[in-house]
Amino acid sequence: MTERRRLLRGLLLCLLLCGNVASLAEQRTLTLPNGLVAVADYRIGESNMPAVLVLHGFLQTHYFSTIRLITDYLHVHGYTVLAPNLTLGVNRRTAPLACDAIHHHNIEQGNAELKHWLEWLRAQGHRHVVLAGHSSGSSQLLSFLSHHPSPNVIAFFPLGIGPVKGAHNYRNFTLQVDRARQMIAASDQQLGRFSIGFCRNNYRAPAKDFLSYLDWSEDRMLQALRSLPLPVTAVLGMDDNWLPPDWAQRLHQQGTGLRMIEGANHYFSGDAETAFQQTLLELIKQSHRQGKL
Amino acid sequence: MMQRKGVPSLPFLAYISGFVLLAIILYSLTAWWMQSQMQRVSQLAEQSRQVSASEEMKKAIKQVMLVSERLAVQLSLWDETHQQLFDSTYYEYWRETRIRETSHVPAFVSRAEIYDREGRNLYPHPGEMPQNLPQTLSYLRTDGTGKPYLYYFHPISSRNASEEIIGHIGVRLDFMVTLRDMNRMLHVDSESIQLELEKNLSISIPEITRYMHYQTLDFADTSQLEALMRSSSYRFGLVGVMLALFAAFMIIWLMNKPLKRMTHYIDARRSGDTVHQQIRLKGRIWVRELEILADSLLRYQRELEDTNSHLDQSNKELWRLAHYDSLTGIPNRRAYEEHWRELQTVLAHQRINLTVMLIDCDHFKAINDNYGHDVGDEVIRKIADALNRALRDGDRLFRIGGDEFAVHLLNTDQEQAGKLARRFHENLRQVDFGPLGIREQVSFSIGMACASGQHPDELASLHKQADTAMYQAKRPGSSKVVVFHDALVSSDGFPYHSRFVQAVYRAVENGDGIRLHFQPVLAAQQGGRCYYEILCRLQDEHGLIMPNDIFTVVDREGLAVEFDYALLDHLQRLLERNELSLEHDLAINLDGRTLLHDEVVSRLTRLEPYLRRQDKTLILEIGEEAMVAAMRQGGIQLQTLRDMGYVIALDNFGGDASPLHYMTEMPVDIIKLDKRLVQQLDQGGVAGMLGEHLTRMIQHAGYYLVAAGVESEKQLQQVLNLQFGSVQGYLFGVPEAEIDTVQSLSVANYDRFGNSPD
Repeated sequence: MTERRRLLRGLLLCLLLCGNVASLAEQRTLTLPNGLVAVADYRIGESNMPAVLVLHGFLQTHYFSTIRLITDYLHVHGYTVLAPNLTLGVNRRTAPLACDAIHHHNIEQGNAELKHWLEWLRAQGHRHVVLAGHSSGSSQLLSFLSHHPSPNVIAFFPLGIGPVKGAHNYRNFTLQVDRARQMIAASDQQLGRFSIGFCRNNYRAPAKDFLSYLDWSEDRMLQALRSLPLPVTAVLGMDDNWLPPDWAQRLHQQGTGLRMIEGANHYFSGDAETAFQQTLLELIKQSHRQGKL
Repeated sequence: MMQRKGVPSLPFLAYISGFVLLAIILYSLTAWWMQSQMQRVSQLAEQSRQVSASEEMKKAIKQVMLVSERLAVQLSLWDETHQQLFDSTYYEYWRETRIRETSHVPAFVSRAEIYDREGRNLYPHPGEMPQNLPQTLSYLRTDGTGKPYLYYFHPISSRNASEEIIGHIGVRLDFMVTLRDMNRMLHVDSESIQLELEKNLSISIPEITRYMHYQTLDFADTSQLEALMRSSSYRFGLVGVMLALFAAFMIIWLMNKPLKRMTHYIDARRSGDTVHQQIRLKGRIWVRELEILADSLLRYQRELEDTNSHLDQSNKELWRLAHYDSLTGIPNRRAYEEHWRELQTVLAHQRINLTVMLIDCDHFKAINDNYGHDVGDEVIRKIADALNRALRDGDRLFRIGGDEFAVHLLNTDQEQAGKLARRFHENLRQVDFGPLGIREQVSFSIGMACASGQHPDELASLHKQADTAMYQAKRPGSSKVVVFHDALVSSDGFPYHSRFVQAVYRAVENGDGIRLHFQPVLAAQQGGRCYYEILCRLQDEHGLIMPNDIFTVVDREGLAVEFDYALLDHLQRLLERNELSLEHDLAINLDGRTLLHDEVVSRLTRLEPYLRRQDKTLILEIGEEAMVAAMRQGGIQLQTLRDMGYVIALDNFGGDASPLHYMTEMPVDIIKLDKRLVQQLDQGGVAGMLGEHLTRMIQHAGYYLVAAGVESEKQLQQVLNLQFGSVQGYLFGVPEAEIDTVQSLSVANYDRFGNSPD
C-alpha cells in the first residue's frame, strides 16, 4: 500500500468519525466569578480515558486550526476534550481578539479561568486531565501549573512552546519591558502600545497587564518546566521559525521531554499534521499508561 | 406665346424653384416636428428621470438606514463592544481611537457611543452624541454648521440565552457622505444633493425627503441620442438640400436646357433663322422622352414645312385660280381689279398715259345658247388667243366677264391705242369659228377710254368710260371700235347706256315706261294678212328709248325672257283696261329663249280670252337667231303655241343667222323677210336674183311671206311681183303709239294713209 492510499484511507476514516464526533460536540459555558461567561468546546470521550484540556494560543479561540486539529483527533481516539476560550475580558468570547483591541487582561486572569475549567472538569467526573497548550497557550498553562499545581493533571504537553515575547519582537523586547515598567512606576494607567506574540507595536494594553505575560522570560519558562511535578513533553516543529534557533536544544538540555516533528511549522499544519497528531496521541496514551489509569 | 385662360403658365425654373422651396419647407417642417418630438421625449425622459430620481433617493435613504442598522447590529455583536459594557475602563480610548481604527467601522461613521442598560452613555460627557439614549432611535440632525448626521441606536443583547438588552450602541453617520458612498446614483446627481435644514435641527427619517434637493442626471444615452438626432437632422437637411439642388440642377440640365433649345429652335424656324436652326438643336439629349419629343418635333416640323409647302403651292394655285381664268389662262376679273388698284397707286405718283380697253363678243349669249357651252367656251378661248397675239409687251389682258375682255395699256396715247384696238378687232374678225360649227358671223365690240398722265383724276372713271364706249360700239350702225368721248355722256354726267339700263330694269321690274307702238303690216295680195306689229319703246324722263338701245341692254344684261314677260304683262293690262283696240290682228316680237319656258304659255293663255272675244290672232314673231335655238332645244313648245292658235312668224329672215338650211323644218307659219334682204330685191344683180329665188323657194315651201322694211315704191313693186303675202315698212306707216281704227290694212289702199312712198 502506497503512502498516498494510506493517507486517503485515513482521511476517509476521519470524515466518517468527524460526523459522529460532531454530534457529540457541545458548546459549554462557564460563568466566572467576575460575571463573565467563558465558552469552551467540550467533547465527551470514553470515561476510562483522561480528559484533555487543549488551550489556544495568544488572543485565539478554540476555533483556531491547530486546536481543531488536536481536539478532533483526540476526540476521535476516544478522549474527552475540553478546549476553552480565555475570555480576555470579553463575555462569551468566541472570536480572536485583535492586537489593537483594548487588552485589559493578564496572565493571572487566564490562570484563574483555567482553574475554574479544571474544577468544572472534575465536576464533570474527569479525575485525570492531560493539559496541552499551543504556543502561548503552553506558556499560559505553564504559568497555571506553576501557580496552581493540581493532582488531577497527569501530564502536560506544551506544543510549539516558546518565549511569550514572540519571534519578531526579540530586538526591542527590552525597550518595551523598560517602557512598561516606567509606566508602572509612573502609575500610568493609560493603554500602552506594545509588541507581543504576533502583535507588532499595536498591542494596546495597560503596562501591568502587558508585563504579566512578559514576566515569563525564556529562563523562567525553562526553570518552570524543569520544576513541574508531572510528565512534560514538549512537541516542536522542526521548521518552526517562531522559536529561537537554540530553543529546542535548551529545552532538551534542562531535561524537558521533547518530540520534534519533522517538517512541522509553528502551527503543525500541512504535511506534518498527521505526524503531529500521532505523536501527541502517542504521548497522551503513554502518559495515562504510565499512570495506570 | 399661346396664353390660356385661367392661371397663367409659369417658366420651368419657377417650378424647379418651387420644388426646391417646397423641399426646404418640408424639411423644415420635418425638422421642426422632429425637434418638437425630441423635446417631448426629453420632457418625458426628464419626468421619468425625476420619478426615477425620487425613487432612487428614497432607496438611497433606505440604504443609508440599512447600512446604519447593519453597522449598529455589527457593533452590537462586536466582542469589543461587549468588552466595554463589562469593563469601560478604557471606553474613551475605545470611543476615540479603537472605533476609528477598526475595520468594522467605515469612515463615514463619525462617532459611536455605547449606552448602558439604563441608557446612559458609558462615558458621560458633552459631545456630539446624546448623553442618554433618546426615545427616537433613528433621526437626522444637523450640527452647528448645518451639516446633517444620521443618528442610529440599536440595542445590545446579552449573549446569554435570555438575550436581555444590556445596552445600546449608537452611531452617528455623516449622512451626505454615507448617502454618496453607499449608493451608486444613476438618476440623481450625487454632487448636487443638498439637505436644507436649519442648524441643530432634528427631523425624523421619513421627513428627510422633504428637505432634500437634488438634480437629476442627464442620461448620457438620451443626451447622446438627442445630439445624434440633432446632428443627423442637420446632416439630413444638408444632404436633402444638396440633393434637392442637385436634382434641380439635373432637371434643369436634363429637361430645361433641351426644352429651351427646342424652343429656340422652333423660334428660329419660325423666324427663318437658319443659322440658329442648325445650332440650337445640336447636342445630346439625355432624357429619352425629350429625345422622342425632339424627334417628334423635328418630324412634325418637317411635316409642317411639307404641309406649308403644299399649302403654299395650294395658295399659289388658289391664287392662280383666283386670279386667272381657268378657261383661257389669262388673268380674271379679280386680277383685273387688283391690277386696277395697283395702277391707281402707281399712277397717283407717276403721270403715265393709261388706256382701258373693253372687248366684247356681240351676241355671245346666243352663240352659247345655240351651240352649247362647249362651243361657247371654245369661242372664248379663240378670242383670248386672238387678243393675246395682238398684245404688246407690257400690255395686260384680262377676262372680266363671260365674253368680255379688258386690256390695260400703259404709256400708250390715244392714237396708238386706236391702232392696237383695230388690230385686236382685225385679229378677232379673222378668227375662223367655222370648225366650231358656227356659220353665222361673230362680231365684236371694242370700247376704250384713255387718260393722259396730265389728268390723273380721270383714272377713276376710265373703266366706266370704256364701258360706255363699248356700248356705243354695240349699237347698230356704230363703229365696232369706239373711243370714249364726252358726247357719249349725257348732260348730267351719266353715260347714255346707264340710262338705258335703268329704263330696262324699271320695265322688267314694274312694267314702268313700256310704250307700245304699232306698225301696220299690209296685205300685198288678195287674202293676204293684215295686222299691226307691236314695237316696244321705253319712256323715261329724257324721252323715248328706241329698240336698238333697249335690246342692246337686254342682251347685255341677259334680260330677254324677263323683258318679254314684262311686255306680255303690259299687253295684258292694256287689254284689261280696254286701252288697246283689237280690230286687227297683232304681232309681237318675242325672244326665242322666252319660248323655252312654260311660263310663256301661261302668260299667252291669259291673253287668249281677249283675242277670242274679238276673234283676232296674235302673231308671235321670233328672231331667226332665237328660232334656231328654239328649234334645237324646244321645237315642241312652238308647236304647242301653234296648236293654241298662235301664229308663229320668223322675223328678220335672211339676216346674219341665215337659217336657210333648216327652213323646211321650221315650225312657223309666217316668214318675215329681213329688211336688208327686201331692200336687195330691187337692186338686181346676184343679190336681187338670190332674193327672188329665195322668196319663191319659201313660197313653194308653203310659208306665208311678209316683206319687212319696204320703204320705196320700187321695193313695193318688186315685193308685189314676188307675191309676198304682206308688206311692212315706212312706206306704209311708221310705228305709232296708237292704232288707227279706221285704217285699212291693204296695199291697195295705202295711199289713203297719206304715206306716199315719196
